Amino acid sequence: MADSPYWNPKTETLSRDGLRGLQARKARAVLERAYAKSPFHRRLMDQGKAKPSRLRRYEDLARFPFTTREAWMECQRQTPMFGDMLAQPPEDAVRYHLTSGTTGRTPLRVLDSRLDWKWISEMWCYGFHGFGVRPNDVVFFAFSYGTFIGFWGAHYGVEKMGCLVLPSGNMTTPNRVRLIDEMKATVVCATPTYALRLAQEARDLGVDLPGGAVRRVILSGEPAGSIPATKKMIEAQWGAMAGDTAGMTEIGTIMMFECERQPGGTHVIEDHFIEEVIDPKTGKEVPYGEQGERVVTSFGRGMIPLVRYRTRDLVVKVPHTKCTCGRTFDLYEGGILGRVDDMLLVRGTNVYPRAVEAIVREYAAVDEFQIHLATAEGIRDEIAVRCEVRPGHEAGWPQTERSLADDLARNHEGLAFRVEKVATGSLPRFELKARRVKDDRIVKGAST
Amino acid sequence: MKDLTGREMTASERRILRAYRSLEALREEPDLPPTVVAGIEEAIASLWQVVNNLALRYERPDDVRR
Repeated sequence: MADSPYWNPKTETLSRDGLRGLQARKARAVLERAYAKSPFHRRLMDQGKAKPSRLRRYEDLARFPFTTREAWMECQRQTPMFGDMLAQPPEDAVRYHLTSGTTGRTPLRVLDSRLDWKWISEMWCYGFHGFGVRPNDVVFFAFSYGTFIGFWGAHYGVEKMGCLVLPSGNMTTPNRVRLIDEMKATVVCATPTYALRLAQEARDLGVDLPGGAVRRVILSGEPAGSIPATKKMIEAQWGAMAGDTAGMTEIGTIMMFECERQPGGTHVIEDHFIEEVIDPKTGKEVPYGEQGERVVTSFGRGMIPLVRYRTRDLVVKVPHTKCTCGRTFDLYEGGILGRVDDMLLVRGTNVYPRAVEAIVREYAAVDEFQIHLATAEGIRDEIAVRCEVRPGHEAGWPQTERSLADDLARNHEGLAFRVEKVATGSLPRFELKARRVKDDRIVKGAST
Repeated sequence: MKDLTGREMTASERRILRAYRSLEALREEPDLPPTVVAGIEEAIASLWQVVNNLALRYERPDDVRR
């Protein structure tokens, strides 16, 4: 059993009916506990006239109200610092974290108990084991270990599995590359952007990553981990298989992971979550194969129960049979496809940064890029993709520039993109979530 | 004894559940020194995760304590 490809064979291969039954039992218990112990959830359920006793089978969950980030933030504003969502007293907590947030927005503050942390790290074990990480691996984390929850759970997860962990804390990028090389790390955990940055640094330092010990790169923190062109680039530059995972501070851990078969999507950890996919406008569930918004109910976090939380992540759910690994957990094809509120409206055309990245990463000549929006002549939206050219690709750049502009336009209803070459090293680099959109328009396009 | 999926528990699953319950009972003993309390709490949390993963029981021991 120790050589099982599954971390938890019993539930990872449970029949779909068995899984649905288990989810219904857990969901009912989560709702009952949330109603009894969290004033926030009791208020929400009372307003929606939905008592926990109404949940008898999986399908009944759709009768319960959504939880939104806005309502969560509002309750933290009304009752500082943690709002009235907690189901346990703050004294039960052993750790405090914040959402990574964006400039000017109030972050969400979260507390987790000892039990919560066992569960948080356990979810990472599903992912690591599923992607082939084993106790004899040496696992490097490109992570600053701050208040952003990020890879904290992953760190504990691989320690639990028995791996040797290499934390890099506030090390510089060159020193991180040296540590990976010297300690013969076999697994590297980073955001997709930073995995590419480390590879670039390794080239500058003369470190041969593809010829080195790294055999797995575990990606998280950005949708790019499931963009085929980005993943291909990471795999080529590291000489290792790259696997995507995705999580969020609101749930404290990952809820999906890519298995070793690399099926072009990520398995949802369905014995610990219910993941619904809804039409963001109507709130109704969409069928397999249709894009919609992720809505998550968690069975793990006790301090902060999460019921039908609207994540704003865009996904396409497909049946587990799309993968040959034997897990009965359904998949999100292509991972997280973007954010409902990430959409840019440029002269009437919808532009998703992830879709732009998928095209740009087809071009090996582009090292780093930025999407820049500006207002021309005081009225007209203009969109440009600023590119740093990879050394050795300068001569062919004029042709690449034309071809990339054509590709971008063709995939965006003819919208004209300007492709601009910028000086090497002039664009920002990111260790955590990359922010590659610079919107300098006077009036920004509506997001929905 | 059945698990949450309706299957009969295996012999080792029943032993895991017994070990978990026995730790819970141990925690209730009076006058335990801090080192013992912390160690038992840690052990309960670890075994709770196993019990939860195997769908033997689904509960929150930190709720039981209060």
